[in-house]
Amino acid sequence: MKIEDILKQYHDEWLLIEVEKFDEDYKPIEGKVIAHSPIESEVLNALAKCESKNVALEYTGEIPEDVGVLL
Amino acid sequence: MKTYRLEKYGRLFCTTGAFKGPTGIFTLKLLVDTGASYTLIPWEALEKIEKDYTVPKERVKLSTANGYILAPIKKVEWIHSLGTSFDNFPVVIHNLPAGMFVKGVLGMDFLTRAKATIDIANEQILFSQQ
Repeated sequence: MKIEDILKQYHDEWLLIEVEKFDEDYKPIEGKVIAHSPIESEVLNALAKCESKNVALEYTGEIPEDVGVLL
Repeated sequence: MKTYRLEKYGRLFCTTGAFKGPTGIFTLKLLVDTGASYTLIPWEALEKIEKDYTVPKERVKLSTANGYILAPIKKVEWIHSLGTSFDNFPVVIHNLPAGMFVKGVLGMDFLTRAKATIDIANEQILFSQQ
């Protein structure tokens, strides 16, 4: 399944995707969802257990307008 | 000169980065951060690309918003982002706080080496030499 179609299916969630195809820039373009959750730790935990060789971590939410970032 | 479009998240710029290790490739969204000395990935990413990794002994002292931390640094087989690739690239292994929408950072180590120019108004990044 195309990554762009996967991203449209899930809203405000973390996704762990097994990547089946990259473009020439190593951006994932095809894959399948291994785990999804609005709670990032659940998806990160799934990452530790998954056997897939090539994986992508994606977040489908937006940053709220009233939230800033300072690292 | 090569130009790449950056992804805008609020007032921040992100892009996708790929990291290769002995056991696979991990891709994730990276915050393009000229305020970061190092490129950073989470522990889970290291575990994925290098299954039998040993905790890196080499550490770097980092000044963060919450004070100083000592974070491990480890070379990945290669990093690829924004059409640019570097072999044996050292990355800091550290988990950003929960609640952050990104789990990795593309820091000045990569941006400097890639000779990047960030065009904020046009939300793009330019590379003078590939």
